[in-house]
Amino acid sequence: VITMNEKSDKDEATDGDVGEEFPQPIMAFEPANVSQYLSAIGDNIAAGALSAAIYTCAAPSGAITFYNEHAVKLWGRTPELGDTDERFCGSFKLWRPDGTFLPHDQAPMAVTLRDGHSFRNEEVVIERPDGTRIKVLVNIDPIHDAAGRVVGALNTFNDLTRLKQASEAQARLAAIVETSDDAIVSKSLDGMIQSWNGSAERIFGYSAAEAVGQSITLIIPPELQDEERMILERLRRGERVDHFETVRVSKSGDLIDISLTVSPVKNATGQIVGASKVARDITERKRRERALRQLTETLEERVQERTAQVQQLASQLVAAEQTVRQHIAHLLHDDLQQMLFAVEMQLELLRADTERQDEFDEILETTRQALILTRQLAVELSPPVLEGAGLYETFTWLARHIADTYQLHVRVEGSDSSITASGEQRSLLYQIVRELLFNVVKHAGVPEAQVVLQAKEDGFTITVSDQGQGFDLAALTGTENRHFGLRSVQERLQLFGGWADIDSQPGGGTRVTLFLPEEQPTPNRTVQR
Amino acid sequence: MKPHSSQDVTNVFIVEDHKIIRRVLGKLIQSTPGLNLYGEAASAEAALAQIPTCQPQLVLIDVSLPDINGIELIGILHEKYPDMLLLAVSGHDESMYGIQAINAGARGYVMKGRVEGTGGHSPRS
Repeated sequence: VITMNEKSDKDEATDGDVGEEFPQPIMAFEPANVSQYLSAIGDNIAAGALSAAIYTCAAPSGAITFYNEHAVKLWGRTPELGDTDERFCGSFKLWRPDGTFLPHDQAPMAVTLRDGHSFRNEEVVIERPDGTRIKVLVNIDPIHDAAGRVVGALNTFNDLTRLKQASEAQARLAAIVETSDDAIVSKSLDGMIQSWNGSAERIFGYSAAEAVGQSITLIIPPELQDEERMILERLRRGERVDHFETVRVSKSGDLIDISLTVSPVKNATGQIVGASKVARDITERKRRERALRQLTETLEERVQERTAQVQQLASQLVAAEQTVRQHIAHLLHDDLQQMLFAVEMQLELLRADTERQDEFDEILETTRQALILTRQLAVELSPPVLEGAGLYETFTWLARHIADTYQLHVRVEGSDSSITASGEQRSLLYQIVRELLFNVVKHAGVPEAQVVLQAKEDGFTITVSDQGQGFDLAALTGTENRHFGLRSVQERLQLFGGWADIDSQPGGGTRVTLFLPEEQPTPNRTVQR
Repeated sequence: MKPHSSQDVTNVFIVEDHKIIRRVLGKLIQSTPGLNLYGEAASAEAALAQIPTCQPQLVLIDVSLPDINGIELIGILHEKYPDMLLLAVSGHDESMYGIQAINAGARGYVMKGRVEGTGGHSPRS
């Protein structure tokens, strides 16, 4: 730290030409005294060169033989080295703390040079050439030669106001650190704990006495020890670790969620000498996050459960409806129709024996009409094809039925698609497609329609389209039957996890696309090709 | 129902679960010259018990029977008695079971209610 100018003599070393960042000591000495000077300055300079003002005087002359930049700053002037007119002190004037004038030859330095007395924290007031006065604390030690004679003295002095400010600032900082809710810890580059504040004690459970001097790994869980290596590595590169969320372990073994910010600590020369760690206890926040996440998951589960229940109910409803339809269809077909058939045949037999054949023919015709009507009703309620057939077969049958009954030609495509539809799905789709085809019959005004089946990645679509009149979807009012019907189509499909897309324009035909997801395999599942 | 065999009379057996239809069909057969009501059964099982002993020439079989369905019964009878005339009778239109019945061995398909209509083959044909 100390630089000596070997060639220096009284003339050359007077200039205080020093670097701004790091003041160089300026010395003038007699070569014989070098070792004594150095040993006396010794640790004082090493430890204080950066902050304290230092100068030395020779005995008995009192001439200034060395001063540093801090001394120049405090004096407010640059003294002549070795000038015997400028003895004991480089200041312009000196005052005692009580305000009385202190001549240079009565200053503490003069006393030390005269009788070898040491001063500790002696208060003196320096007056600068511009008239400003500063209080300083002076520490003086004599320098002896081998024979024990005083050959000079070393004066180390500090600006008392600054010292007070610095210590106040330090106290303030210490108070901030001490009262912070965050754990603030400093450590050396090899991970040794150097300081440990109150919150560190509170959060981690170790007292400062227990923690300081220990490795920081004290609070790192075994499985996360690698983290510290990573943190130290980044610190050595001068990088910060910012809001790193991790886990530490307390003295009692509890795991604590923390948010960690680690910054390198540099010395005055910019060298990284350690790190400061600020750890925020985020256990509570994490707990709330977890609770919230769990709540969300529970909610989602509930919604899924309810959705599944609703879908199951919808499915059961369709199945129940289908059962009722089948039951009524069987009643119509197996009982009512048989009775009508029996009546018809009996009438035929009786007709041969009567003379009122015209009247019999009328009754016969009415009976036959009733028979046909019953049969149609039974078929429409529960098409025999629904039981066990595939979607394509179902729609083909429906197309034929519609063609026979309403003279609408329906082309069915998609026999080659492999679609899996459950019995309930098939029943639902049969009813919906039938309604849509009725719409074509009633509103479209064309003799043709098309039904297309298509397998999709997670289900299948059925498109019912015509080239007929179409309609303005937005113009249909809520009370209109057709609107109600289309909305009911959408709602029924949604209950089965599907959707319906209706595309129609006045004069541009109508296209309704129905989608249903492929059902999970169930015992009812029907596979069709 | 007393069976009497004759060269110019066709002996007819009815398999029909509806009592009223069975009775009317019986009347119809008896009132038709050349047809003789030979026996009747209300189920496929009963039919299979009686037919081997009475050996009718013509059997009218309702497609919808409570135990074994009519199409199956047609198959069984056709295999045992290839020469026996079997006619399927149904309330459904022929598009549904007609082909199945013919494939099983029936000679014809009669739709109830259209005895004189266009849909099926009459017992006389």
